[in-house]
Amino acid sequence: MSTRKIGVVSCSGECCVEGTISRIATRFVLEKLRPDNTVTICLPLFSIGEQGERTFARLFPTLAVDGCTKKCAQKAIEKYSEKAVRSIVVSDLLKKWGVKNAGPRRELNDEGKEVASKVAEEIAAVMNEICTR
Amino acid sequence: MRDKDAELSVKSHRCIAVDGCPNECAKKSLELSNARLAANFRVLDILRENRKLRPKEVTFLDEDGRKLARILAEKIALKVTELNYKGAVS
Repeated sequence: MSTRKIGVVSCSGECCVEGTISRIATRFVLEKLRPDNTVTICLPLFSIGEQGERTFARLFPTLAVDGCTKKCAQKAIEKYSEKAVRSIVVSDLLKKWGVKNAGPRRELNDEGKEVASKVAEEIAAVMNEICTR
Repeated sequence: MRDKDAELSVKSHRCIAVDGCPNECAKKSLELSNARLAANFRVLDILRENRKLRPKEVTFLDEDGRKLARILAEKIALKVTELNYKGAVS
């Protein structure tokens, strides 16, 4: 895989376990799956107007990892930079995979960690697609 | 992201901002939303006050990280009690 940089804006939501899964999955991508390609962008920083983060998302392909259907990460990218290249919605994936108990919001249980790994693989697959375009 | 429910919530309740880094995004977000900011905490201050604790893991907290989180949680809880007391006597 090339070393093309791709931005990932993750949900930082506290209102649902999907927010925790989004954050952990993004960390897995950054640490294990695509360390050379991933640039994580802090959603709160992005939202309050940090120009460095916004400029990055304007110049590089950036994808949103959202916990729920409010899609705050996707909306932030589109509001302050460019269209997100892709939006991954964790609550939709959990429904599709039939996940019922990913654990409490504060700390994922084993099933939650496994789900976070699967979400991380989805993110990495999208990154592969972007790199081969 | 201008979520109406969230904006209403931060305007109608006193809020405490808890920031992980010096950019203070939580505090600034509340200020930008004209929220009722009652207090703010910075994790960096907690780290300075507890120099023996040195968390190293980011994705999952290690033991020192958990201890710091507990210390911060206690400070926040104390602030909530204080605010409730002030609210009750004022």
